[in-house]
Amino acid sequence: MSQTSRDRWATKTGLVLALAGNAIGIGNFLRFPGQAAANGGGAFMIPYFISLLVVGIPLMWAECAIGRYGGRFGHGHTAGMLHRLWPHPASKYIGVFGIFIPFTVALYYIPITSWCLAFSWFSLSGAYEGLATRAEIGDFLRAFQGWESNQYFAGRGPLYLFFALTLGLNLLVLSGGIARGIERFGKIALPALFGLAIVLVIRVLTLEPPPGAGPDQSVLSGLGFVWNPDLRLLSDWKVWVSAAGQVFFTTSVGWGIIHTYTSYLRPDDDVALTGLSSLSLNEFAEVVLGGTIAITASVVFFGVVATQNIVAGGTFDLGFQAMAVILQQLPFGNLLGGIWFLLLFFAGLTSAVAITQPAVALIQEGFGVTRNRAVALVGLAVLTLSVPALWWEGALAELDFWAGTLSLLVFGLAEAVIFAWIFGMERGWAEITRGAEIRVPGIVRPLLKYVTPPFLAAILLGFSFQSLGDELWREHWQIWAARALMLAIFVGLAVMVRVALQTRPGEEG
Amino acid sequence: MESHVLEPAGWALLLGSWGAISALVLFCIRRVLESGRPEDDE
Repeated sequence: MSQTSRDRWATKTGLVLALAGNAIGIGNFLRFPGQAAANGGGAFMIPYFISLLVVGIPLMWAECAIGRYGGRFGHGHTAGMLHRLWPHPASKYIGVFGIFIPFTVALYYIPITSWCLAFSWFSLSGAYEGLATRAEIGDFLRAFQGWESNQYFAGRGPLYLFFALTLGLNLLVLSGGIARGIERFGKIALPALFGLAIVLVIRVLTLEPPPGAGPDQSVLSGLGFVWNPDLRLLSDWKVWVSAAGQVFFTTSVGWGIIHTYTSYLRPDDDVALTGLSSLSLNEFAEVVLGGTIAITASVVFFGVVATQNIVAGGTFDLGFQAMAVILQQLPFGNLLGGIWFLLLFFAGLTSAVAITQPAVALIQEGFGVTRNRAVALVGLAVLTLSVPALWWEGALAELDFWAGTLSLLVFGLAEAVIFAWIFGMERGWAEITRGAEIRVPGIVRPLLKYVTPPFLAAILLGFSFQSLGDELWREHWQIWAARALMLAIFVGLAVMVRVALQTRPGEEG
Repeated sequence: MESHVLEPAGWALLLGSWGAISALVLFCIRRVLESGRPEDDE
């Protein structure tokens, strides 16, 4: 059944910016430089670019093609799309991952995005001015998050206020629809994001070391920390797994979102140039801008050894604590801090809008509900189900591990196999190249069939080997409650998919 | 203490990566702006 009344993108630029906004997230500015510095510096870029060429770009094109193909049949979610590629009962349940992953991630990603908005406001208003150490900022952050009560915050009121503001903005954008909501928002948010990031890059590259700084506290040492290659590490398979994983996470393949966005294209619209363009903007934001700001600033102010400890402590230490301390020591520090956290907020919100859209598409298209009602229902679900991420300590990391990391690899591998081996590369290649406004290199065809699936399987195995053993057996009740919540979400979505597809002609089986 | 000042190999990787990505971005922007709106195909 072909549906002609679906919402559509108004311009190619709008779609490219929306796709790039989806891919460019907080991780571009925090996760990437930490990964590079911890995995051989410049040497990390060798497996990173190889992964980008053999997995990132081909899979991005495949997902764009799957999305546009599914859109022909009126599907805006991967359950319907994969069932069209492979008319087998299992395919729609595999496709549930493409709704489950973004929705579950939204439950903690929207709160995190709201913290960025809050910290932008706190910086501009001078709320944490004078807190000169990471420990003090850490106390401020924990009190804001409600994990402890101290002189900075006595309750969770500000936390809920900024969460409500962020969720409200998210729903407002979604309620505008594809062209008048997501596309318009992307056209404002992405240029703003790049503008803010470029201001910060210029400021960081012109930083002077603080008085009494050691010889290693300089901009060139900061860049050297990220970029000097340790080529011996290229023989370490963990570096390859980390690089491939970073490419996988940053390009936003395996989420189900690229499919949803490209489902609003017409059957003969280009996907090749669109996919490559959004990917190139994401790489610019990550490697050029993200690789320069936080780590370099940290090395200038704290030195190499302290920065290594900060990076080991995770992205929150770097983004929320170290950067808050550093920026307020500079002239116009409150303004620069406001810009930094606003940059993270824009990066987060463009992604937050994207990760809530697949669930909206399922409700709207599967149950004949108006867009505004579908948006309201998803908003209500996020509001209630994000309580664990806000209240249960440890739940956020648990949701991130299972839904935001492991499920991506599982779904990415499954869709690569379905596309290349079941749907078939002959039809798959025809889908990728139809309407293409650039020549797609012929090598992509064998890459997608013979290299991408085993490559993804290797990342999945490597990641599972590295992390699953430590992760599996945990004692805290919050961890098991978060797992039960995820299972309930998956089962609930699977039931919804079953009902939604049963009512559509041509979806039997 | 081990020096971390940007070395020639680091410079090469930094400039090579930045250059390749910037060139790709410029190529894509030019082609996207040339290609216009999806509904022009109608």
